[in-house]
Amino acid sequence: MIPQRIAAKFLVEPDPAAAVALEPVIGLFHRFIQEQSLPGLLLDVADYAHVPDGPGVVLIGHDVDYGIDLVGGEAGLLVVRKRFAGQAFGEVLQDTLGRALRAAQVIGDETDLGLRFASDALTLHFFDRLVTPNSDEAFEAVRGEVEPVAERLYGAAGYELSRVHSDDRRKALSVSVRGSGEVAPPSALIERLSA
Amino acid sequence: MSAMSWKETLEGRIDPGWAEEIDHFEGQLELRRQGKIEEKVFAETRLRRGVYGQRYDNGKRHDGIAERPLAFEEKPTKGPDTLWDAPGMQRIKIPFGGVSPEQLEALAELAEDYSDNILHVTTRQDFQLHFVHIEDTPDLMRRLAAVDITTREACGNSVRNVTACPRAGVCRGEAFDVSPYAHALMRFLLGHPDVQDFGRKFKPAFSGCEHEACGLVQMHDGGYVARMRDGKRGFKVVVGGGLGPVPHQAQVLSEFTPEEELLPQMQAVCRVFARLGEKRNRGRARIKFLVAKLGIEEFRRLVEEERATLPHDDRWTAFLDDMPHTSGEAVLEPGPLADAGNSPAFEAWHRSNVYAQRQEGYAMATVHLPLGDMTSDQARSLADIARRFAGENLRTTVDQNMVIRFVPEAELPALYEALCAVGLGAPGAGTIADVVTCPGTDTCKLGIAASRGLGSEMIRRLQAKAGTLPEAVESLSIKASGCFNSCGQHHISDIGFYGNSRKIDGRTVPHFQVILGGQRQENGGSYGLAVGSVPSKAVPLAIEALTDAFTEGREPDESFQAWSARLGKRSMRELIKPLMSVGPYAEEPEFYSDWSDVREFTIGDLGVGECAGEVVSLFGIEVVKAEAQAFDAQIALDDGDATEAESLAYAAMLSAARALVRTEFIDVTEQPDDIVSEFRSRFFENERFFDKYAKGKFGAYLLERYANSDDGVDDAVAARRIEEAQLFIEAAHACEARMVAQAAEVPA
Repeated sequence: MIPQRIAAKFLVEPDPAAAVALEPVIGLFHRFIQEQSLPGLLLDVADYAHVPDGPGVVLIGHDVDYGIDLVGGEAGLLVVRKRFAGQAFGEVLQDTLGRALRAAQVIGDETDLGLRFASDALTLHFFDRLVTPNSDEAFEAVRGEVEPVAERLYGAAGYELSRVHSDDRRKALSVSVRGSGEVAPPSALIERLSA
Repeated sequence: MSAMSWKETLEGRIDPGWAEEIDHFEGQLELRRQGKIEEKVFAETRLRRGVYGQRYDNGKRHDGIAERPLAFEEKPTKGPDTLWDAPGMQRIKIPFGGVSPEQLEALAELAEDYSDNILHVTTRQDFQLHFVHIEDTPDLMRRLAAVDITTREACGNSVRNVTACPRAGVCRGEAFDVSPYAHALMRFLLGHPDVQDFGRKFKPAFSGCEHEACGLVQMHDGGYVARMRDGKRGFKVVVGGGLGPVPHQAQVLSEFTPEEELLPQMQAVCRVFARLGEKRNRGRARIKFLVAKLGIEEFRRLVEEERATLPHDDRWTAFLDDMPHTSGEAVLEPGPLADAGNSPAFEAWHRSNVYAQRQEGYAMATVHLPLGDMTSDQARSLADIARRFAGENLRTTVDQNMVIRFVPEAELPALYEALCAVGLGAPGAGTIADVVTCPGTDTCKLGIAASRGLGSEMIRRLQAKAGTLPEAVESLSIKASGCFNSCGQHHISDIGFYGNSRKIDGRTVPHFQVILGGQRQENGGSYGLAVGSVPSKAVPLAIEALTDAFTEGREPDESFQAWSARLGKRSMRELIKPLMSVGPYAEEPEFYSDWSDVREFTIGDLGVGECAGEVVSLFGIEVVKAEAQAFDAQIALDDGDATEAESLAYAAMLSAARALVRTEFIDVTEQPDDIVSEFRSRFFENERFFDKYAKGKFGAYLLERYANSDDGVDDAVAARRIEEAQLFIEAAHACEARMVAQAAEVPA
């Protein structure tokens, strides 16, 4: 069984706590819809810039959302994959990360925007309180799915995996993956993922 | 990882009646997917569960260059011109705004699992979740039901959320706490047979007093103002208010309705509305038009006449012996606020966001939510804060904020600090910076201009000026609607706006009509008047022009309403006239797009709204239950439970028969004896139910099953009963169709 939604967040670098100008992101996301710049059925742009530590600006899609997200007080690219059609957990996880890396690359290439994302660390969120509750058991099960993908990205001994929000079981199950080797750009990670 | 479903996981934790309804809705989803329910019937069915459409759900969107199709997979629609996979909005009723910490936590989970991580508070004290897929809605409803929240009749042609002032129970000026009565009315009318045949929605509101701005009963379809008379509790009851494109003030139905008459009187009002309200012309189907057409005297007479015919219902007064608990207990002892040592930021917050309750030593603190939005994390934090300081005492407000009640005044600094730590400590609640808007073009199919984008811009500008504006300006209200339908309640604010457009230089430019001088006090006592349209991008300057002129020109203690009335519409227009024109696109391109949207503006994305629901006959609504039971019978037989299958098939026939009987005799009970008796005398013995070829065969299925209930059941019997039920239901449809055709032939 796979959760309702799987999300991956790459933080803005060098300082995710620094303010990010969100207004230009609105125009960027509208252009992405016009030009179909990112994978997925892209529907609209939602502006939540007025919400402190909120979702920021979100490119809403049918099967995926792309957002410059401020939740947790840390700006980053949040990609939420949803509406899976009979796929396996590992397959969906890989697809989510692939789309997130692709988005990081495409947005990072927008030099006027000046947004780049640290690709040596990411947080995965599993939004489904039934299939993947924030429990020790669910974490172990999810770990088994995340590790193979983390290995492809960062090498077998090149990452640390840890649980986030274990102190608050109300929050979604979340996992931090931190690469420990040389930092590879999104394009390289995309290649490793699909190799 | 769990292999159980939410239905299995929550078994035993949901009210059985609610669980059955949700199962029924899930069955209807499946029937619609199979094309076995007509799309209009399904649309009204889902609307009555709060499952709404959103902008672009017709599968088209203008991307700033051209209108493009959205490549959703081809599936049966979820309503006329409404694609199955297109994201929708789930409206969640919060009667009188009362929400517990546990409920907030559940809402937070749902926002993450099914939506965009945002909980939105509406102008009717509801919550809304956006970008929800219809297939997720049954489980969403189950998870809400497990924390005692229903979405039933959140939308559609029925009784919507019952609102009440957020100060109910703590207000210094209230006659008494109206919350238990609001709760009782909600419970009584929820799913009531007498509210299933309206031509349009009905919105009720309660107020604890006559004069304040909290209850706004004058703008509601039904309003209840608490009154005491000779030591007895009762209500002034008003009917026929409403905003929309043409606002009406409610009229007095009764100066004093004793508390024990509240529910039956409302039931009588509903029956009159169902019977006499307009149903074909949707634009004139609200009760305000019926009251205006009949006159309040005649309307009152009809209600009294109807009241006299109502079969007695114990529920009318049962709640008075055991009043619903609508407020939790305070968790901390009261105590005064320390006079010294508080920061300037706290003092500013305290001035605008804190209300001293009538319970000495306690205060109500408003949590200002920008445009009514908060994240899931903020909702969980708010739940923790409430538990620490106030227990269960949380309410939503029609200004799209939340309030925490029963906070000891001594604890206010600590509360403020806790709110600030999670981004919920913004001052300015109830001030000019507390801008209220409807969703507008962000998500609404009817939105013309970006009310939320405008609201966000105004909040940003006005918060930057906080503390520097004259007090008379600081206390003004701004409300914006995306169109003339007034969901942002622009008619009752000092400065209101509703979205429209103008053709300039061969292109369409977003504008807002300026509405001035509305009155929130006196329960929404009067409505503002339109003075002219300004381009959307010029609205902030228009507000500045108006507030500057007000500051300079007002007489001492003169309200904005009085000032604008004194100067007159012409003078008001002159103030904004310099801002009403727009240069050609080549010179002023910024005016040709709207706030928070870089696309060149178009009205091409306007869709068909679902606020009016679908007019489906009472039979049409009720026979869906029969069809769902027949479907469930098939499932039971497939699962090997012949007894259950046969029982459900019989129930389906009874439901279809009752649906037919209720077209003539609305008070038929749900008892098989009564249903069969009425069906036999009204439809079978006079052969109205007879099919041209099969004669009484299909009707006899019900009568024979009713007479022979002791026969044994096996798979064969169950399968036969299911067939009979399906034929009976088809015959009921055919009978109703003949009745409608005959009624159309009869001259008026």
